[in-house]
Amino acid sequence: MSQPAIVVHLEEPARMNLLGLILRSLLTRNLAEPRLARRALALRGAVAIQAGDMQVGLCAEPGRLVIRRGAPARPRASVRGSLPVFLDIALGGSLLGPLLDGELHVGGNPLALLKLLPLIRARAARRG
Amino acid sequence: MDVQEIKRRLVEALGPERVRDDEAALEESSHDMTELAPVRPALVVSATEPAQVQAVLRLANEARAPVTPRVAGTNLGGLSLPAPGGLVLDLRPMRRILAIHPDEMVAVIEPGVSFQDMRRHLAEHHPGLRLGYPLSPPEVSVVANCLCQGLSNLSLKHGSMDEWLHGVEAVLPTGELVRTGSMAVGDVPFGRPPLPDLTGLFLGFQGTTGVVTKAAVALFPEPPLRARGFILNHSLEGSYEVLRRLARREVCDDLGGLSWPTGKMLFGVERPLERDPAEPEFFLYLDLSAHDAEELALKQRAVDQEIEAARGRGFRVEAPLPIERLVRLEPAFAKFADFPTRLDFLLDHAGGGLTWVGLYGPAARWEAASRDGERLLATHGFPPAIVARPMKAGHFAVLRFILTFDRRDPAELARVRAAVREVGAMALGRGFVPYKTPPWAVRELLAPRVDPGMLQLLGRVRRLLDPAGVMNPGKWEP
Repeated sequence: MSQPAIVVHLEEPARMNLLGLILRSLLTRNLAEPRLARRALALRGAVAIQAGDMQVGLCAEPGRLVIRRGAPARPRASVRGSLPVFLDIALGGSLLGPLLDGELHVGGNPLALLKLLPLIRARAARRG
Repeated sequence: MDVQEIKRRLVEALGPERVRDDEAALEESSHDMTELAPVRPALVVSATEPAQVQAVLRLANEARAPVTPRVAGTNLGGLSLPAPGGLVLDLRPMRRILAIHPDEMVAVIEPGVSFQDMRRHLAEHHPGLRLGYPLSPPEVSVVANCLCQGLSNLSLKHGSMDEWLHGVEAVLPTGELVRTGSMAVGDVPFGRPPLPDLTGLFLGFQGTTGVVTKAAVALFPEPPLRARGFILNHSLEGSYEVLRRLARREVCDDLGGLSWPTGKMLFGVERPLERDPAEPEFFLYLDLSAHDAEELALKQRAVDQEIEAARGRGFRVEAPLPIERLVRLEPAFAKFADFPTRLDFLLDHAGGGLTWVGLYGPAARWEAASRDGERLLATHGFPPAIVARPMKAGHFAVLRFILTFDRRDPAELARVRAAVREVGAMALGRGFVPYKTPPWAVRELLAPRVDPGMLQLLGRVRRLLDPAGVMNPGKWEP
């Protein structure tokens, strides 16, 4: 099966914050996997992500995922936590623990967040 | 004596393969990656033995021809640029690791030996020993970095690398061969004392007092366990607080900080222009080593305590993130996982220009100098790419302002020159001293501030050693 065409676009890279740069790195690598690329193509609307004080909007547009600095205007869902919590989740840590401990706050459509989660998880480095 | 006669005599002494005046050789030796204008030499001469170096310098004396030693040519102070129409002495073929004395932990090496060479040799033959490695390209000369008072990832513990020399063998500008330190007396170099410290005649002189043909360089034990971590820090002031605290705690092998533009360059942003006020301002990195897990855990606890103390003073500091986890988030961080390393985001970019204002100075003035430098760089349109590190348990500090630029763009070159000049002047005013200092900065910025007695003594020493003025003229010349 051919690789679905979807790209990650970073808006104003020279002014992007660290959160946006980390997200771009994770998404770009993950979207190289056809299964995850297909999943990304099915995303709709924008999600607001806040790690520490840094905010970005991840917006699904036809054929691309756009990362913009700051909060998006009308997000379908939002997630907010400290930078260490965000990094821990990106590195495969549990979502449930921080949620129950009040370290992670979600809003809007939780399904939109669950669809996004596998796209922003760091995978083990490939061999060869 | 004209160039053709010099060439004929050199060919006679060294053989035709060691004397080049073809376009490729002259071009390679005429430039570096800084903003400084290229300078074309007349000949490029390579040597494999001290006797050949002696022959070159004797002839240079006779012909009054300037000589500039060169190895990798990556010096950011422009120190490898030749004198116009002079000879470049290419020391890359002098690449032998002559001896390792494991009990005294010292290596005797030639000037062409690179950090990569040493790393490979030690890993293969002496895995219990290590050398410190700078954040320079792996092909950089170990001896040149020592002679230029550079630093490495063990400089927090052991100071700048000139302090690691236990003695040298050098050819004086007039051609005589001398040995200093314990190399002057015995067959096992163990240090510079208890003799008059003539090794100092070759340290920080920027190659103006002779050509070092062998050096005894200290090695250090390689503990079996290592942990490298990054600490995201939300303010420059908090970063310096943590750096000073950790330096005095004496648990880290290596410790330093990179400001936000450097971090973003690692993520592939060539020209970071703006910091989101919400994002970390500094990335601290630290290395710990230990003989067993218990020792490592104790050191990690000490680091945590100092971070906690900084938080107690109101600074926002994240917990250390192990390098392995960071590499999973962004594979480019693997460049910091092992040394020597090639920081390609600084070297391989459009236009290829790289320069710095590299300074040693008082750690108490880090904040003020950094903020002033940041403002000056901004006025010239450059992001504040800062590298800071404590040295020798915190006795002094390194502060570097790094500029990447397009060497093909004259307007950008002019901005770089202005920025470097202004940041250098500011830093000197704050008590910092540039190291690996470019010739123009010695003349314009440093010399007016240096004690006149020292300048006079320096001139006397140089005239004594180099009466014809052939060794690297123009370098460290007030």
